[in-house]
Amino acid sequence: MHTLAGAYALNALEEEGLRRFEEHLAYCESCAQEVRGLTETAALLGTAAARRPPQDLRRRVLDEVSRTRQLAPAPVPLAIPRRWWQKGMGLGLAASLLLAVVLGGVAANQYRELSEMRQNEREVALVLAAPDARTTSAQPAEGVSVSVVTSHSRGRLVFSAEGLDRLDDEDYQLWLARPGGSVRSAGILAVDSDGSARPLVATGADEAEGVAMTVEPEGGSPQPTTAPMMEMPLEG
Amino acid sequence: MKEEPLAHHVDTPEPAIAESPRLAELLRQVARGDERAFEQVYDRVIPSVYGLVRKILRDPAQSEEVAQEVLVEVWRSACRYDEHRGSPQAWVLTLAHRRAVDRVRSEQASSKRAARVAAAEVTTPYDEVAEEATGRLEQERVRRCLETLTELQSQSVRLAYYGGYSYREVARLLSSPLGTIKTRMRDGLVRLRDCLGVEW
Repeated sequence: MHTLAGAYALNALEEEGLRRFEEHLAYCESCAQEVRGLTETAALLGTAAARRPPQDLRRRVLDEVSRTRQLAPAPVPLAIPRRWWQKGMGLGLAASLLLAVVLGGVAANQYRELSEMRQNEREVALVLAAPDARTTSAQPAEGVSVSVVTSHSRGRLVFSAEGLDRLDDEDYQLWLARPGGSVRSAGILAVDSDGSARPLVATGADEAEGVAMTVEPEGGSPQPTTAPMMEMPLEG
Repeated sequence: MKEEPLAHHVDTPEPAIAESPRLAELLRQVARGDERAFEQVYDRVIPSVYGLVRKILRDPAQSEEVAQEVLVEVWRSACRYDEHRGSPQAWVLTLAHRRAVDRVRSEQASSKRAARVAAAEVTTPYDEVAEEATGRLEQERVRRCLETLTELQSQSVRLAYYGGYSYREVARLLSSPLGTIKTRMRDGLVRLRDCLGVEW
């Protein structure tokens, strides 16, 4: 199967082979990676074929475009690439992250919130699917579990937590600890009624040495004002 | 909505790396229905789209038709472009290649198709690279890298990509076993990728 990556990138597979290879791609991260590179390469062959287009083509295209409706954005694919399982990430953890993502998608019914969440889901999926994704998890307290998936290539980490108490006029705030002892806010956790925090994506993963969580006045603080309820070093 | 003054229009070729985020940004604007942004996308991609389609179809009138379909498709589905999965150029050219090849393959049974195959056998369609290219540097780079391929790698890649032939057809044209052609397409592209320094 793997050897078909070249033919696929050159668009040289016929129906049956194409269908089978695409099925295979969904399970095979290394194939998908290779296909991306080979597709970019094939596109350069296309660029090299560049030639001056006919003069009136531009006008005709613009005419047609002004009469053509655009497609609505595709629904966010919540289907999870199986490769997470194969990456050696614990099934339980991956499943719980998936569940968090799915529940997040279902719970929101306000449009604006939904579109923000879609963006978030996409970012979460990108980090989780990164080839260099690393997982660190801990149980900082009875019934509380937290996990961090870090990807240096994406420069991001995804934090998720379960078993948190809902707070009334306070918020859980996540912090990234940086070399030299400084900390930077990574944002406030949105905790659902079941005590699970929606996955939070934070940038600056490359320089984070650890994460910490504190309880802060509603809306968060510029710097932590209470002792962390959880601190966790991240594996380099 | 922000409108860019026309004078801002960039027509000097930028290095491909600096160029791609800009095209991606334009596509985002197109996805929001911005026709001005689309005009800029058009100007950026049309030479490659038309050139590639024309190379595959050869017939100027048909090529124009298909190039138009491709650009309208870019407009319609701009919101489906995902920059984490590839460059905007590759996305557009993949659309273009598929459209052109669909057109070619729908002629499968017709005599035209037979003539194409015959022509490919007699003449050498292998070493025709576009003459009126806009991106001459890129073209030169690709040409040099193609030269580092073995004959069979190069022919397999060119017949598939520029000729629009399926790998079965390529195997038949080159009188080689299917497995060999599959492998040559892959290791040929891999060698090209490394030679061109593609990072994806």
